[in-house]
Amino acid sequence: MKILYILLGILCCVAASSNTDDDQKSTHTNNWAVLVSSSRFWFNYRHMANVLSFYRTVKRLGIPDSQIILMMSDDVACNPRNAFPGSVFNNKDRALDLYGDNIEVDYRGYEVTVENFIRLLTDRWGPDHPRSKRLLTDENSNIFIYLTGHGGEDFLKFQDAEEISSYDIADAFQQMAEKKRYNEIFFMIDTCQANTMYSKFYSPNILAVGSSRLDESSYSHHSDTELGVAVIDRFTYYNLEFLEQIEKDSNKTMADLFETYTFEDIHSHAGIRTDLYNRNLSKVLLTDFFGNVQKVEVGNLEDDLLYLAMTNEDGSPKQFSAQLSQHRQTNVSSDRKPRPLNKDSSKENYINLESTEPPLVRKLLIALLLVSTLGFTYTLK
Amino acid sequence: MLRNWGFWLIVSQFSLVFCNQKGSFKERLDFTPLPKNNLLASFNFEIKSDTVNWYDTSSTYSHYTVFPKSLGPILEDTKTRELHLRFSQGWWDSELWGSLPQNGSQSGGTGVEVWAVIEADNKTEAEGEWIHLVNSLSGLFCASLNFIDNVITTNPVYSLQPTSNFINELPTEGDLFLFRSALPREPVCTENLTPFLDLLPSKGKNGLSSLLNGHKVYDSQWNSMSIDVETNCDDELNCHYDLKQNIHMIVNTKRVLSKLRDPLPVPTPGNELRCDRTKKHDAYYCFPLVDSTDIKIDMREIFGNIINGENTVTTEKSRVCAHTVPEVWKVLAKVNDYDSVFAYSEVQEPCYEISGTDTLNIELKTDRSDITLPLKEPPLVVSRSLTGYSQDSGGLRIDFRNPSDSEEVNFVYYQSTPWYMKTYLHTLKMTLTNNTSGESFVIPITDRSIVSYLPEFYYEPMIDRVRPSHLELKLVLPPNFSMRLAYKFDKLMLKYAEYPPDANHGFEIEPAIVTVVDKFNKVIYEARTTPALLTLPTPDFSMPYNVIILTSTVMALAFGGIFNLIVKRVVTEEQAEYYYQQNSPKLRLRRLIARISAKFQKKKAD
Amino acid sequence: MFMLPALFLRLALFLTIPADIESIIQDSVLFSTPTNSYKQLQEEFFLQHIRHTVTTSPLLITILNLINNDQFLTNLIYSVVDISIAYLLVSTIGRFTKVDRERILKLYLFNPLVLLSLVSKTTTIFNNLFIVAALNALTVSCYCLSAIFIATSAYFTYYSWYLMVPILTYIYKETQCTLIVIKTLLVFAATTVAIMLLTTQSKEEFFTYYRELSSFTTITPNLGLWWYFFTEIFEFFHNFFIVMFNLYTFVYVIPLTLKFQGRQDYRKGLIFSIWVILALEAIFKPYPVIADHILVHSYVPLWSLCFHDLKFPLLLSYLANMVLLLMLPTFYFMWINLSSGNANFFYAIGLVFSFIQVAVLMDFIWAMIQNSHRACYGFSRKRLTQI
Repeated sequence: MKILYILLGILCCVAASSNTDDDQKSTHTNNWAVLVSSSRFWFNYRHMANVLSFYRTVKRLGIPDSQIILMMSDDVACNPRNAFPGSVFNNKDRALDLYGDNIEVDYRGYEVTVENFIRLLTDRWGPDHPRSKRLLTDENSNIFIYLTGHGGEDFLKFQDAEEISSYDIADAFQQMAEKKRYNEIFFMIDTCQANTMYSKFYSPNILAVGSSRLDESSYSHHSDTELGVAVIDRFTYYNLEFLEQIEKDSNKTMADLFETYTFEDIHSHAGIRTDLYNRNLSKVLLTDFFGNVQKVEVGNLEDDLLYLAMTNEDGSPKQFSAQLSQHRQTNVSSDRKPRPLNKDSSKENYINLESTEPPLVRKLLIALLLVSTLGFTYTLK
Repeated sequence: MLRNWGFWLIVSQFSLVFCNQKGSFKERLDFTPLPKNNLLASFNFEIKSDTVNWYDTSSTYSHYTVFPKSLGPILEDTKTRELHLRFSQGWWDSELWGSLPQNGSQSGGTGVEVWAVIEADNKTEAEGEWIHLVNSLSGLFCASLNFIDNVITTNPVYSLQPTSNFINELPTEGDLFLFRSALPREPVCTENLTPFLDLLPSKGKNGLSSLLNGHKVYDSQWNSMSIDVETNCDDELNCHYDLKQNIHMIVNTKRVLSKLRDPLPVPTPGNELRCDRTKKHDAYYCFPLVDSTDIKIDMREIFGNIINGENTVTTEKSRVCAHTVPEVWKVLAKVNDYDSVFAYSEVQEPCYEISGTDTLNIELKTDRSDITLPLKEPPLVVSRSLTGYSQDSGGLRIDFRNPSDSEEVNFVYYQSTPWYMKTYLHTLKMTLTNNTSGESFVIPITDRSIVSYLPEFYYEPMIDRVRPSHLELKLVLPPNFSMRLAYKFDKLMLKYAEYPPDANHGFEIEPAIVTVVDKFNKVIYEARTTPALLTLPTPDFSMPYNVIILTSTVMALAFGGIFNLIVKRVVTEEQAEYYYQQNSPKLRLRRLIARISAKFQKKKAD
Repeated sequence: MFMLPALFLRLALFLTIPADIESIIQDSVLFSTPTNSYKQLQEEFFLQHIRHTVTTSPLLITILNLINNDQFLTNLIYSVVDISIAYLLVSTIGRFTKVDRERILKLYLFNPLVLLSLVSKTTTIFNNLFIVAALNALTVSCYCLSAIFIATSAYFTYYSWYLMVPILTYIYKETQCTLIVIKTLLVFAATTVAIMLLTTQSKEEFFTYYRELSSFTTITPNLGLWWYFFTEIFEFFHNFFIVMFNLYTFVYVIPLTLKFQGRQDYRKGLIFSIWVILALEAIFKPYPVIADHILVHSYVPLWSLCFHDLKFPLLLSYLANMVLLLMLPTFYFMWINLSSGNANFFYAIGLVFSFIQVAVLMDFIWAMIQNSHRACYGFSRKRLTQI
């Protein structure tokens, strides 16, 4: 009997793993965004600006306010030190006010805590928690999660008082996976040693990018001397530079975005982790995460149900049809200097854009260790 | 009661059919120029809901025509009969701006303040509903209202009494409970204005609300946003919600104009400096004069926008009014931005109605901006401050001044202080000073003679981590007198995790409320003090492990040492030496070997 | 013979001390805590008719009501209580040793620390009075009175009931009669219940105070070890350690009683164990003040017989204590008022102070053990040790 079950299980696995071309299409029906700035105090203005930039971008690309959870750890817009009340800028030209006339902050000030963030992801709240502050996702939701703040190896500081560890986020994601709370997650983090934050993920269908690898800092892009603070971080700045060009119906893919990451721009090695992610990055539209459900070329559809029915058949645009590609995307290259994308599989399962060969010292150490072990066993004899 | 209730049920169903009332929406904007080139802009939106009846469970649907759909269900869910919300920033300078608009009934203290009347069967149930209400409101208004819990909530007894006639005149099914809480630390910003505008049927797209945007509202000297819901009934069966939304703001016109020129403050260029001609003035010397009184400002400058056509849902025409001295102020209305003069007003309170899709811009113009309508003096001036300098104790001082020479002021002083302020009310001392002669005398609260100035008071002392201290004093201040109340308190330490991330910033103490009443106990004026910033003793936040280890070490040392002494046998040193010799490890080992070898020999012998 | 001058000195002190200095002493971290301060007593007296007020000492409020909170009468009561403590102390100590009574009296009555503690007008002085009275009643074989005093003292700080263990043992040893022991116990229980019923309206109200005391909800810096520990402890372990800290002192009670009741002179032995328990309470209670330590150290002349067995000379211990007592307020002032130090400095000195107390106490226990041994096996100059 047991054997039968096992066989059945294997059969199921085989059936599930037999990927077809259709796997490269996104099957999501709704989009959510969780945008978190975790640093308190005025001098961390840029983190608020980072997060508001993404808020503006996802809103521009069609995700409604009700599906954006914005966590802002401090009030910079109406801060007495802000010379421009009610405005937050991410560029010293101050051309674009990120705060605008219409903004909904779901968690602000002291509400931005590690506990609340984990609760938000796993949707574990008291009975009084308002709906608008919950992440009401389901198994068809694509979630874009963006974190920014001050961090270190395997942690991100919240409010200058507590930390969230990479294990915490990984476990929260696993819980989300088990509760079928997402279809796919695109995790982006801009902090020092950011790549360590996604290294512990083990749940399926998560695509993660970080601004800098272990022992690297993430730097701010530039300061506004009138405001007296740095206004945006480099990684976020170059992401936005790319995202500003796309529209709701854009066909740009994740691979296009990742191609633009260069050390020259970001001053750190941005990392991409794709091993948990099944789709080919060059087939993943940016709007799968940054925009609301894709533009459908079938008449004027307003009814969600009808829309769903249509997408299952032939709703997706032509660009979506792709060849079967089991292998992970491996050749993101910049315009300037094509280079292979190496996967540092030995230790962490994320891809760094810079080649990450084990340094000579480490090689030597390993050799030394081997030799000494051999020597030791020899002397024992 | 129950029979009464049944009657209600039956009749209310009829009422639903026959007496259903349609909701309505009104809006109005008032400009009042104030001295020193300040301008008070008051937005007033009034929404009346359709007839509601919560007792009627048979009707499962309800209409919200103009009444906000987001607010209605919350009110009904939590059985809230009256709700007041205040979002304020800045400090009202009553010496410069006179008494508060609407006699202070629509202005809050710095931060966010909320109070509500909830109908429930008992206090516990009401408390649950209150928590539910503030949580729902936190989702709606993007404010951390969910931080409100019993620890910072009070039930005012003299102040903030409900005004709905439902509460005051008609019988209710359950008991009514008034809850009040405030978050003085809460920033007020665009994210609070957005939901405010969303409550309006016009959603900030047209009508007067199109003028409101965060950049200008929060760049003002003082602003207060209020949302008041009352339940009023024409008779027992026709009840409706009255929602009043107000924004009052003080704009410094000179500052606004200079900001339009240069968004960042820059020093006035030499050629623009207005020097006092009576004193020495040249390239190096200048005794600057006050701002020029020549002013010309319009809506586009104040709000960055003009009125974008009529609000399509109003039942009355939207009105914009200006309250000026007609001799010196010219009020000019421009329709559809025509330069041509549409109306020059010579009357004191010119009002303009918006019609159709025409845009409207109001321009205020004068060369004597120092001449404004006479300021209405507030009936009472109050200020509150913290005294003391140490981190373990301090004092609170409240100064009241009666500006009137003839009339005494009856008022209620309401104050709720957090539990970590351990108040010693018996130290309260009242000092009364004559404003003209400067004579003063002190009455401690323990003295019976204080009764003539403090006829009644309500006090609920704090309980650690359970509730705040709640003080309400009914005070009488004779004409031309000042009163100073001062008392002491101790500051308690919090637990490690109870400190906020920026513990050394201090803790905001919410503004106190002063309610001036007339002889018939009717509220005639309401004002709030400024918040106070309290510093508490803070531990070293990097120490938990060290403290736990060191303290435990001392306790373990005492335990180990004492029990060691108690348990062990007392012997002389010779005896001990002998014992140790007998039991030295060497000897023990030898004995053990001997025993084992003895066994072996035995075996061999066998 | 010193009583009258001492009384006048005290009354004069109350009359002449400037109000500023009086309030400094009354607010001082060495002398007062939120649970025992005069300010708190006055506040409770003022609020006695307001509902939901947690009163720490309804008994004292009743007294204050009787005298109508008159300033002079209050001062008189405090002075008389202090002098009674001195009198009872001397009569207890005099019963056991042949130390010069006058010297002990002078040492207590004109001790500046005692006078300062008196000026702080904390309620601890009443607790001290009842404990001293209970011990004196015990030594003159008024057992019921002793039980009543302990019950009254337990009403101020619940730790005092621990003392019933050695006291009952003492009574049993004296009388060899179980009935008297049971009677005393019943008197203790009856007094506790009577006080509870007389002074509070409800059972909850009575327990609220003890719950607050034992769960350490009000955290303010003091001499003890609790405040910084429970400020810094992780929330998760908080309740566990509250229980542990409360049990901590009790752990000593039975072993100490058993150890010293075996002494030939069991009276002295049991009084010694009571003294050690008092000392441990003073060190490890949630809100210790100097008055607690004063009570403990006032009994030190009682153990004059083991002075020569002490490892540290008394002079040295007291010098250390003096230095620490000067440093404590200094560091507190630097932290709280000047902000040039932080909590760690004050905590560290408090920790050292507690440690010195423990060391001195252990020294006394060891000296007493040696003394008992010699009393048993004959006096000799041989050095003793433990195995």
